[in-house]
Amino acid sequence: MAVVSQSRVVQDSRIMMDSASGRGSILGEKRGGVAMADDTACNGNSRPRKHKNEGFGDFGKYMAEKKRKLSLQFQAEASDGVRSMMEDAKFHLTSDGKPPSNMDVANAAVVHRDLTGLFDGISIFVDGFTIPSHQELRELMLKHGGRFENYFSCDVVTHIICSTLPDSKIRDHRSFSRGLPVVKPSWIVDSISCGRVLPVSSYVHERIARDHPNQSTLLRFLDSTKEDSNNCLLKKDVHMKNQSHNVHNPLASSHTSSSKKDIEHSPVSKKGLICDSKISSAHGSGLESPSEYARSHCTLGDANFVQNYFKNSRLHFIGTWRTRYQNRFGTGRENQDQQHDGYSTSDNMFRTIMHVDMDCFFVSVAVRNRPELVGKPLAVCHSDKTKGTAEISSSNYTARAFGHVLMNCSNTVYSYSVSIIVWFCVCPHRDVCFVGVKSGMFIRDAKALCPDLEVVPYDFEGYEQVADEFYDILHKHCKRVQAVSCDEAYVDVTGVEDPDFLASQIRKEINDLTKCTASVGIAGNLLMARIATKKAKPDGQFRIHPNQVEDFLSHMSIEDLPGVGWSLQERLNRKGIYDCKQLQAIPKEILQGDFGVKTGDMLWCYARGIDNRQVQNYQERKSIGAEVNWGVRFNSPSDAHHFLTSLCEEVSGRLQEAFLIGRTLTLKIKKRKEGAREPEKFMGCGSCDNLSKSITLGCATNDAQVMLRVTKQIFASFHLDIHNIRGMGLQVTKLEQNVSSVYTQGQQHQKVLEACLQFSPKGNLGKKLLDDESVHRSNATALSEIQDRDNLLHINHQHAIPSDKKQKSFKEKKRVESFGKIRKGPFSGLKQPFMSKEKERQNVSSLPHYSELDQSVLQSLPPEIIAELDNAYSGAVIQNLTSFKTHVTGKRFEEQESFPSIPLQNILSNTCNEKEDHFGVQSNLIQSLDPKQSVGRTQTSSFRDGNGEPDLSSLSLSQVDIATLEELPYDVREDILRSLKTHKSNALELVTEVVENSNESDKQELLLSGGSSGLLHCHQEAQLVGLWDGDPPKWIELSKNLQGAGAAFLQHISKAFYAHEHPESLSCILRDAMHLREFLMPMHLDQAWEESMSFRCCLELFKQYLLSKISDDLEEVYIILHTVKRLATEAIFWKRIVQILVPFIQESVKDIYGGGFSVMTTGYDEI
Amino acid sequence: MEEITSLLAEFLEVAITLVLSVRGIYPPEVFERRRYLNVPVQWARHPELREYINSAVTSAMPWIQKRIVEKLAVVILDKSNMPLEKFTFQLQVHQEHSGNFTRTEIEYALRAFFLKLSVAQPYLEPLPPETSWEIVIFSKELPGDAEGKGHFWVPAEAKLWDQPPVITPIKSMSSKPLNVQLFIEHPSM
Repeated sequence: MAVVSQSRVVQDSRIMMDSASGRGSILGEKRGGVAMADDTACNGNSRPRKHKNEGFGDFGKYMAEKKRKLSLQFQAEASDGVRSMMEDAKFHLTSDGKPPSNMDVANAAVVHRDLTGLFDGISIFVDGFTIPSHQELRELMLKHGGRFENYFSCDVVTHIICSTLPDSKIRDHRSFSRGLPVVKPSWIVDSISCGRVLPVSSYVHERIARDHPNQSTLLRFLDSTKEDSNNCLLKKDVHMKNQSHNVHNPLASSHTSSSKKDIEHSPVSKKGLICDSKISSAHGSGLESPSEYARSHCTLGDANFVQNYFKNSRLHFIGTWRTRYQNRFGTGRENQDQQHDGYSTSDNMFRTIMHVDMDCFFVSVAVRNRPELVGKPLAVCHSDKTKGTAEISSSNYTARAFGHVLMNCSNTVYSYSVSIIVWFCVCPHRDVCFVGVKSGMFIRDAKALCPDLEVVPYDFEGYEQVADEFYDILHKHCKRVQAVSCDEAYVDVTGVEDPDFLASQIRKEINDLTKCTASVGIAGNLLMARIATKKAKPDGQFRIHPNQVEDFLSHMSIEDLPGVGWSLQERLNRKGIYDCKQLQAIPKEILQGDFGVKTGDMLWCYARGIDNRQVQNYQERKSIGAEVNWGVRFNSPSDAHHFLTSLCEEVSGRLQEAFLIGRTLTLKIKKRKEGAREPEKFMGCGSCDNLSKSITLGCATNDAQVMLRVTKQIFASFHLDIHNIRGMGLQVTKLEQNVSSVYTQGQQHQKVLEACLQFSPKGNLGKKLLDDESVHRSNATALSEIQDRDNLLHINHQHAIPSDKKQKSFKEKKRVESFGKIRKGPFSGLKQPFMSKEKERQNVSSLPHYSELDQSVLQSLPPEIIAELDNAYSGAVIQNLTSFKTHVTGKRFEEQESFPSIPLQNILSNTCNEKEDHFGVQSNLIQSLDPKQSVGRTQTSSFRDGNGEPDLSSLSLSQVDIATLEELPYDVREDILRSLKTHKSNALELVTEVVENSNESDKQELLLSGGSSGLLHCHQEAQLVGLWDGDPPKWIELSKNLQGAGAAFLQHISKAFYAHEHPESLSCILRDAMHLREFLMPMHLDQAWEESMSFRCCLELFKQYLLSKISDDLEEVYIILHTVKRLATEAIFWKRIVQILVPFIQESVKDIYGGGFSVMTTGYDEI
Repeated sequence: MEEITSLLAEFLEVAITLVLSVRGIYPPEVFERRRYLNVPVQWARHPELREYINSAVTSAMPWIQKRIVEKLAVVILDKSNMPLEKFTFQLQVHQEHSGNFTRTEIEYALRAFFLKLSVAQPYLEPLPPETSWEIVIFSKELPGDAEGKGHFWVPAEAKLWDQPPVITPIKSMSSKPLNVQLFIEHPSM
């Protein structure tokens, strides 16, 4: 019998007895069975958890007590000291014969405090043997207002004092000092003699200072805050914040600058000052104002950190540049199809590709207007601190050459400090290893290599300007330009007679226009062109003819291959592969086996100079995101929250800029590695673990609020200590075009329709409608915008597409694209500012001849534009289209067939382009009540021709086909009813009727019975049976036709249902849907909403689902009930559902399990 | 089928032990941390306790397999032998589907039970001192001449609460060959 429970287990006599005696009775269980109980063995009585270890636990208490007492003693001694001094003062004064006034005493106290307060806020811990001794130091601290700790605790201690540092402590000095300054005792003595707290930097232990250059800055900071009488001590993060202010703030505000400079640059004081003046001069000519530069560099200090971060980030500039480029040069999707038909892909062999790359772009742009710097070693960096850890983003060739000599022999390299070796390529098989000033290098290392290095700041406006000019030139010369980044592009010059000449011409133009140089590589494919450029640099051009490729490659080292980064290089080197020739010898299968299919394939091809990629004008974006990995430090959850908010706003802004919405949100977090110390790079992320999680939403979004909610949820699920977060990034994938999004444009629908209804009385036919000024203008705006974008009509005319299917999809795309582009055109365009008439005419006058227009493209254009074109071509368009359409009936959407008729319909059909079946139905909108006539679109024409004047306001309700009306989306229907002014009261009745009766099959029921509610009710009931039958379940079909309260919810979850493909459970869907909670909330409730079909459908949906789950998935039932209850706190709709659902389910559970859920019995019953 | 039965038996043994550990029926020293299905669980160190649970489960298995028994409960009793809590396992074995399943899938689902059970503490109120416990099975018919160790079982008295109990679901899984549910029953206040 082990351990403690011995007696308990054994003493229970029932172990033996019960099994023999067979005591018990038959259970009257519900199922009528017999219950058996086994009481044998181990009826261990539990006992309360024992409280042991009390004796040992006392040690901690003892220590705490001891510390407390010691500090009390210390304080007492200190105050005694003060008192005695004050008494001295009193005595002294009285001995002069004057009675001591209160004033005098106070003065004495002040003087005294000046002295005693010297070390106010400083708390030291003395480690090991010191001179002066432990005891003496204690006395000193006592006298001068400091604190002295007998036991080390990083919460209290601010400085560690020691004379010698043993190796063991050095080795792990971080854990020893916990990041606190370790200073020599002379610091205290000297400080006292000077009467102020001296900077600790010169008292820091050399060994620590040398090993950790950052340490010294940290210490310097401590003093400076001290001098600024910033006595609030001193969480480490506060250190960081202020430190960042110091180090990055060479132009600090006047009251602190002098002292800080002294401190900061004490070792290299002169040089530091020079640096400062350099920067200030650079800024004088540069763009950023000094005050902007002097901002805080950490999430803690700066409320707008994220915005500022991206404003000043080079990577951000490069990242967002593409959106800008696409917007500017209009390389949208439509060009993609077009670009392929000009060239067939089979003549791959004889392509000529040019790779144009600006030479050290960031440097040359930044100094293009400063001829005095030509020929000097230059680097671009956001900071010019000689000892700084800012990374160089670009350096010119003069600078790059530096360091070669220095490093020529490998012996010298190792004598250099560790941080440099990182930048030094270790190539064991070569004798010569070198390192120059490179991008990515810390500035202090660069300065070490090249002391004369001039550092210039970023010039983002310049970059944009030069990049635009650069691409202008490329586009001028060639149609097929693939932008790689802002300074680098591939150009397909197949067919050009003399590419060399073209290259030199382009280079010359670039040089003339931008004052920057570019290099060009020419070859048969993208890969070789890129390699050629390497050879061409700087400021040159190089051509690799197809027959030279093999020769050229065989001499090339693998690291020069694009796509071979250092890790891949390392792996190849380990296999003894150093150049392309060796690589060529390896069969493809082995490469694929070793490096994965894709990489292996790439290596195999690249080693042979094979590259089948096309020059693509447009590359679809797969993801949009933003990431901040620098300067991220949090103190409290609210900091993190604020940061996430800005991050979401940033990403949302980028999505909006690109007209995209996304479904999957991924939050990436960099978490400080366990035991990692403060990174070498100032405010950098250091050594981190990368965490990431993503959530896929039911529907795509670009709304910052929605994103924030989801992001916060992901963030919370990490359960991180916020102090350990070093970087965060948010990425949105599964992108869609932001056109058909119901949620973002739901409101617009209504406006559009209202607007149309208002216009329709004036202009009955499409052409007449154009007379309405504002519509006209908006169309014109739309049209002209399209024309601005590379004359769409021309382009489409040129391209011939083989299959009908492709054509269709292409048109869809185009339509989407044009809507996205001119989002404000057709929808809210009615409110757009007027365009000048002149411009409008210009656009119209430059139209191509009608015969040049592609009929099929015309077909797919939005009706407004058609109408506008029709106007421009004086009626020819519509006339032709109507004849054209007869050829294509059946295949096309009805939308297309009916569009030349009435703009109202077309606009309607646009608003609900999600549901195809609406297209047809709308044409039946207004007609007589005869059910037989409700089918067939002949009504359209009868409406148009027969009624002549479709003045809605003059229509009576009897003319409205209720069946059709109820098919319409809720908001559209509301609009129509509202506009039927004459029968307002009837209209209201109708609405309720329509709401109740919202399925196709109901129609006839209604008509036959004349609205007899009894029959109707039966019918509804029949519909609600078996909502979960079938695949997909019946409710999905049903929900499509529903309107009113709850319909939005049903439609939303039915979308989610499809998005999940095979959802495991309703709770999954609900859980995901909770992110978009507002969509689950019915916006407006009619009077009789509780009787409405949609509400009942919702209710039945849950009821039936839960009933089906009760017998074998209580957990699911429980979760669903809880979820719905949570929703119930926010909407009456859900409250009602809970009120009905919960008791019902409780009863059912009781029936099966003999008892109900716990929490369900309380709380919501009394709503 | 054998595989399912043995897996289920193992699962029940571990789960019952875990219930005892979570509820603190025995002092913590009685248990040691082990890994089962790659999840940390508490396992009894005392051989007799292990033996008791093992024999109860294995002897009930034939009935569970035949679906004569679909409910197995760990009942915690107070001094006066009134039940305080019931941890009820509802088990449904579908022999007709026993062929087509992968063991890993079921293991995966069962693992969740241990995880949920280990964190069930907040649902539960502290037990009064001097509790005992028993394993109860509910059968639909008289098991009759059960093979093997069936003779261990004795008919139990109906220890019912005055009010219908309150149910807190812990975890449910349903798969083709096997449905398992675990929920806690308390007397309602």
